[in-house]
Amino acid sequence: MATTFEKTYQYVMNLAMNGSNPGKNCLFFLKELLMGASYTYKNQAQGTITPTGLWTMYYSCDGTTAGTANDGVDRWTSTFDATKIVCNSPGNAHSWAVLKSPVGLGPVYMIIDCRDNTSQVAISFSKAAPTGGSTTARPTATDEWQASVWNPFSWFPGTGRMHGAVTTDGNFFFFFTVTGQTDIATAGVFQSLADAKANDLYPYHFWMCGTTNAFARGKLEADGFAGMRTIAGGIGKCGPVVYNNNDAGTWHEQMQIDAVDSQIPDMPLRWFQYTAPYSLRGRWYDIRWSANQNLPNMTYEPPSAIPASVFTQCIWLPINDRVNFT
Amino acid sequence: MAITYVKTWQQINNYRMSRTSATLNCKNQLWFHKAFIKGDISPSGLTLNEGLWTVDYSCDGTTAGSAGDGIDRWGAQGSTTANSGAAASITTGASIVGAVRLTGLTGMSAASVGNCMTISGAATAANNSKTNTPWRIVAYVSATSVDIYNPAAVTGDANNGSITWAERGQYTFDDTKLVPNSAGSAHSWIVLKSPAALGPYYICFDYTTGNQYQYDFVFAKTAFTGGTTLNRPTSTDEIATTSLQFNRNATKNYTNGLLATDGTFAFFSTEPESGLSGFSYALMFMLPVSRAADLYPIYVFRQYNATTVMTRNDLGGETSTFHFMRRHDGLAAATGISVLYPYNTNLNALINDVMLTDGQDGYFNPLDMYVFNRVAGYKSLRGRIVDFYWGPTNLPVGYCSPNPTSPESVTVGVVWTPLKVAPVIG
Repeated sequence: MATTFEKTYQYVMNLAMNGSNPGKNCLFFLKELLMGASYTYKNQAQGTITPTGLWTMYYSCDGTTAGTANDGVDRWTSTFDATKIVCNSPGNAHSWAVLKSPVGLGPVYMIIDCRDNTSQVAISFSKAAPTGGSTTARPTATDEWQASVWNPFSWFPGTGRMHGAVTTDGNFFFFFTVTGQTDIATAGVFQSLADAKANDLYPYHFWMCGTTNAFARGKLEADGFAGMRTIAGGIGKCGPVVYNNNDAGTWHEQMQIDAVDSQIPDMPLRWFQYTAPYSLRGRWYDIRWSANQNLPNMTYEPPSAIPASVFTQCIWLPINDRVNFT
Repeated sequence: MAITYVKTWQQINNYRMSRTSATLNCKNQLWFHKAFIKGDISPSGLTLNEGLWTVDYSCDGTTAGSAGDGIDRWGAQGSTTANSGAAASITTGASIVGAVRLTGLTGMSAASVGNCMTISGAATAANNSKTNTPWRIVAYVSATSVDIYNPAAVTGDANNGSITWAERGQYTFDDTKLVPNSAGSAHSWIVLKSPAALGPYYICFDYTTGNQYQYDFVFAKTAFTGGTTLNRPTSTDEIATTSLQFNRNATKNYTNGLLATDGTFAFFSTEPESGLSGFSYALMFMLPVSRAADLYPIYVFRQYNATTVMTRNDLGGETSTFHFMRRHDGLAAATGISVLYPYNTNLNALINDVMLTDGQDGYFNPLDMYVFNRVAGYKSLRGRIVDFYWGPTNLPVGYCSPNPTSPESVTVGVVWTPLKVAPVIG
């Protein structure tokens, strides 16, 4: 497994959730991880850094006051305040936030809509700037795609930790863990894909899964977890390319730690548009398929105090610290 | 997407065999294999100067060489040109790996590249060319200087300034030097050595079984030894691909040769004038991108089928008989080798089956080809075959992307290859 990466990662790891409002804290974490106002970021060697490539607040709503497009006001504030994150169904007052990526990434916009007080949060992306929005309805964009809905509440009983990284160009991933469990409980990845074609107008891929063992192969492949528009901007679906053996099925299930050199094989994780027009859309930077036979979950590489990658379910994920499950 | 290849692929496309008889056609095809990777032939306008293999020793059915004698008994060296002399020096300065610079010449020109050079009278024996085996001229420097390919050369020869030299034309095919016959009967074989950086590896073309349309292809990391007019040399770590056909015993074949500058190579043959519309023979000698601890990373795919080679089952099945490789500890031949193929669970389909060229831009997609060894105890991902990609199942044979006029890639079976010229297809 490679321990050097194409991208430069800026990490926030092992932050304890607010015990009273863990779900809302996770939403705040996602916003704040990208904006960088209140967290301490560490580089690959765990040195403290000033992050770059951050997203900015385009406008927001705290359930009481809805901003206007591009007013730049973060009404969720830079310190976690559960009263600013009001969760309720559309038509009722609730919170939302529109974040704008670094220009070099597109820019793209992300809408976090706290649209339900018991179950779901909706996350949408667009290239066109969102407009409108009120205390009772989120903004919309002409080319938005709803990447995923996510239940941040039921999985977090009050004790857990939040983890994530944003690259210096604005790509990011995050994941959450529940105290006492042994695997990642919720995870999301946003990337402007590697190896995308020059004429791809929407090379952006977002995948998120809000259940235990989030990075299991079946969940990476699941229909509802990946959000992407087609190259030309239409509606399409995207799934990962897996590699099979004619006689034995998927290679992950067959491959193990190498018997001769003790290395753990890995392969690039490419994304395929599996609705017509079919297209190979690109590759995740630095997150790779891993052999998973006889490989203990949450294996670190290198197995030192400051690891570079962690094996979870069937992938290698960049990391700069061991995951704290306490 | 437009592809950017990792390696530089030198190629001869649609090489037309001698076509007066099946005998000449088959022998010419086998001879082309040797001649191509050794750089014996270099059609006008093509560049084939790097990653060349050299002769270790050979047998023409009458005389068997000894290991390391360096004599090519499989062809006739070219005729001398008007250029010769006795004041050459062997010096540094050549940029091609394995080449040295000759100075003190006369009459050299850009057209000299592709020709050969006889050298004698050097103090260091390795600098002198062997019988019937002149060195290949790989670069023109000036009217008085060229670079020749001799990986064993030693610059600063003690006789510099008085070394005898003579330019020669390219090798020519001599069918009498290729004698097919069963082991135990007099027949031809040749052992070639790769560029040092590739291993080196050794390969032996053994014109055995008695059928002119078959030969044994044997490869090894340990140098071959022994060999007589009756039996080929052997190596302690050889892998032999035996009794495999390469030709239908036909009279009119074309072969495409690919040689990377690191010495890896491939051959793909067609037989269009018999109404056969596919590739009939494939031989790939590849060095996948592998791990440092892999002691034997060379992967060979070799297949004959009159109408089509390199289907998904041929490449993707570990029970296929066309994969050849040693285990990565080098101690035995590997079994359970396959090339993994790309699949999408949502479609429950092979990506190659649903996607021809890309739905958006018309180019092909880089679906990697990974070599996988699944046998218990030796399970290993052996690496990725560089610059070859899984292609669509349903495109016409020899499909050229993006167009037949100036292709970037051409399908052979279900594989995109770096061929740059549309193949002659029936």
